[in-house]
Amino acid sequence: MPTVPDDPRYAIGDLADLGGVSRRTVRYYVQEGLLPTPHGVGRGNHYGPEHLEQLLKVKSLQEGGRTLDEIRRALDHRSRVRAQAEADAVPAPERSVWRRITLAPGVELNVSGDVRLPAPSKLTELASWCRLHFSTTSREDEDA
Amino acid sequence: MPEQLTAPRAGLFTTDEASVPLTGVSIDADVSTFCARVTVTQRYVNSESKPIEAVYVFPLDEGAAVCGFEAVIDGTLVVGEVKEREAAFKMYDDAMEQGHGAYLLDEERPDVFQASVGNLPPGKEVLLKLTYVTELSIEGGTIRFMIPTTVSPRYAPPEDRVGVGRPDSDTLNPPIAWSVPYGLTLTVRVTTAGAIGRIESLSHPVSVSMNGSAATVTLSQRDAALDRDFVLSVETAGLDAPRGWMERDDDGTASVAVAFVPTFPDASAPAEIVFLVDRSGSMGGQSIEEVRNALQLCLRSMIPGCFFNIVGFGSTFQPLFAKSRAYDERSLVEASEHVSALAADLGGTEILPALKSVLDEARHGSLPRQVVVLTDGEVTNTDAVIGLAAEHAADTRIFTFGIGNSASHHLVRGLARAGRGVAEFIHPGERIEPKVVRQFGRLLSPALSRVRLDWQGVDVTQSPSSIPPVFAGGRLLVYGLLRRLHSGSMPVRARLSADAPSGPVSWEVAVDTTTVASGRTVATLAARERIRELEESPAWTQLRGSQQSGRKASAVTQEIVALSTRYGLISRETSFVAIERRDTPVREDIQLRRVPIALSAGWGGLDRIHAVGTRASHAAAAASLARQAQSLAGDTGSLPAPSARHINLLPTDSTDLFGALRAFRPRNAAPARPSPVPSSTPDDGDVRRRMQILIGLQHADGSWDLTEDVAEAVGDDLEYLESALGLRTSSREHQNAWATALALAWLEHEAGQFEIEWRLLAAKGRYWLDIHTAASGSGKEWIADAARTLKF
Repeated sequence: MPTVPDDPRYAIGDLADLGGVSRRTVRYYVQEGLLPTPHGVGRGNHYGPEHLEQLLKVKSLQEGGRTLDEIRRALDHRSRVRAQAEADAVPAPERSVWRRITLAPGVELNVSGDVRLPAPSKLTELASWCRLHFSTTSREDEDA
Repeated sequence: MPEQLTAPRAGLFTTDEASVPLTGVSIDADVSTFCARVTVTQRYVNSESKPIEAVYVFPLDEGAAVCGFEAVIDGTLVVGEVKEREAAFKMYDDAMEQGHGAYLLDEERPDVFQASVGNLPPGKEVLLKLTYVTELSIEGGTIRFMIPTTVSPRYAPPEDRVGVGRPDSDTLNPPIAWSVPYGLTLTVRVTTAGAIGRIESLSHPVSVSMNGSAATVTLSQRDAALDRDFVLSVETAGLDAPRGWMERDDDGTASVAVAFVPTFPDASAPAEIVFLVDRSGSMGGQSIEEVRNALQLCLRSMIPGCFFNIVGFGSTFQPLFAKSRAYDERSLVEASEHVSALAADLGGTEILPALKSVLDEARHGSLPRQVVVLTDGEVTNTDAVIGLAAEHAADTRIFTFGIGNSASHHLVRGLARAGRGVAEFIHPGERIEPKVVRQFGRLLSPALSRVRLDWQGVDVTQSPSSIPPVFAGGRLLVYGLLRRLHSGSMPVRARLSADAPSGPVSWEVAVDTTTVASGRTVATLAARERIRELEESPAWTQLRGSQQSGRKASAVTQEIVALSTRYGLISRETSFVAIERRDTPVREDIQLRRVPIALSAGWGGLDRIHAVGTRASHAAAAASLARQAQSLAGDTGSLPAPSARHINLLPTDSTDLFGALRAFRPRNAAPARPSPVPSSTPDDGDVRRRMQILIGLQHADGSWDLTEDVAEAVGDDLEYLESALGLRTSSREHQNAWATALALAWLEHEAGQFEIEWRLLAAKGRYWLDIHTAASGSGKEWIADAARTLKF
């Protein structure tokens, strides 16, 4: 899908793909308050880098076996800690956190919590490049 | 609160009517001998000032092949199409984003569906219509048609509360309300091949208008509560004849369905029988009472040589015996006492570990092992439970009883299917005995082996691909899809053959191909059956673990999607989506409204009121429920005594027998005299009472003692019988042989109309009598003598 260069936003499909979740899951996280509502009018049509960050966090907590209630509590706690940290003007990177970004089926990018992610347009560009060049076995082959 | 209610959003709350966009459900069904076609119409109205997205989780028959989905808005019809599940969601989501109207139907479980009405503008009304076809089940000479109306709170084991995306605990537990501001209207048209004998609803008051082999049934009350299954039984002739149906599709393909109702001589053989009994909180009240009654009858239906155990489960599980014990007087008494005291006191519904422990246990010697599961099936991990049963299908058969007003039909039927057994449902107010006896007849009869179906004169793709087990008296439906039907072909013949203990048996159905109706109902059912088979295969259930990015399209998934789109019916892998393109898009914030559903009547013992009826009576019932819930919340250990009496709209004579069964006492215990038997002219009620007393007095080995109670039940006094038979000085064993012969003679001559209920008990009695009278004539002669003594 061609993305406008330097577009600072993700469409819901891009966000879901990079997060390695289904589109239903993105909507569900928003409904449940685990992700902030998207930007824009109506149902909202774009998401920012903060949405991807949060999505990756929620997903990794779910993968770690946490229930949604536990995650909600953990996120609350984190945002309080972050607010406190910002108030104290002490940089507090989350060292042990790694973000797993899905670039293509079977291809993931692991980015440490203290490394800034590139702009959405760059990341989606990288993802489409990967989808093009890392092709999985075709279905015809599987069936044969 | 009880543990069941801790799942997300499964708590009870009162509803604000304005925020419930669903205003009514209407169901229209056509029932024939073999299948039913049902249209469900849901009416949604947005009475708010902003656009809404309404989401409604509701049940359908677990065999439903949903093959139509339409939305009617502003007089415009929007027709839905089947798409792969995520692709359908994308279309739905995109349309909403662009301000159009969007309608989505997802299958969460074969018996739980979710309808989403996207972007409904203020003041607008939309009708969602979904159509399904479903096979009908047959019990004896009766067609049973069932429509579930509510999804009971489902217990989610810890593994169903985690995992990426929306957890199953949440998907399958919509918000529950004491009362909901929408009701049900229903019309069922029945057309059968043979004349209709009787039509009745076990669940609802209905009006019936009959005309030979056609009838129309409507609910007597408007806006009935959606809080229990609607159950209709239709007695009609000719159901036991083998039959076939064939249809030709527009594209030249054809489909055929053949129904066999095999009968073969009943033979009983001992087995190891393990009863797995749901004692979770949701079984409280009438459900656990039904379980106790059914179990008492099960215990008495076993035969000498059987080994058995009873395992109760909830959050934990508790076996009665450390290992299966031999069925004898002592174990029967112990088990019977255990059953009388059974309570729904074990918390959550951890059926998976309980079933696993039973199946992992070594079998008892060379006996076949049969597990009998009694449950309401209200859990989220149905796939895992059914998968486990399938893994053990080779060494253990599983028979199930679905208990209560809205048991999960998918779990109860799916478990029996995977375990090569049969499911029976016991709805409140229904007679338990015929079902228990029927089930025992099946599980004590040696299974047919080498079952095969040969199609002659035609090349078909058979569905299901492997033939399910065959039981005497049950209907076996098998489908075939034909690539092409040539005009003037020979009749299609299907021959079912197997090896019975008595030798080879076979049945044949021939289907005429000269006059073939056009249509695709049979093809739809055939495709549904194949999809079900795939969705219950280990290849698919194991895939369910990885729902998100890691999930690859497997061959099974591809076949499901292909069948589903080819035949236009929904599956776990596909959804229906309908898009309403608007000239003027509605682009505003959309409010999510989850439609609350009514708590099933009787759930967890909270309700003994038949709350069908007006809003006012419903509100009164709700108030009473709320009080009971409060007291339940404070004390999860013991359920409160129901304050309201069960309003008796239905025949409920089933409870009488169990009074007699509970009065059952061990051989050496002090006699507890059963209630006196009136000596008036015998009518059905009197015969029934006497029969119940006799059943309660029978011993585990099948014999009766010669006592006053037995004498009275067979209609004579003890002194007369003792002198007539010259028994005053004879041995106890001799006396008991006569008592057994008398009881059997009485059952045969006086209680013939209830034979289905005492068949197994009598077989056991005859067996005992044959052994104990071997020295002096056959048991049959003794029974004949006894009959003469009783002047039959």
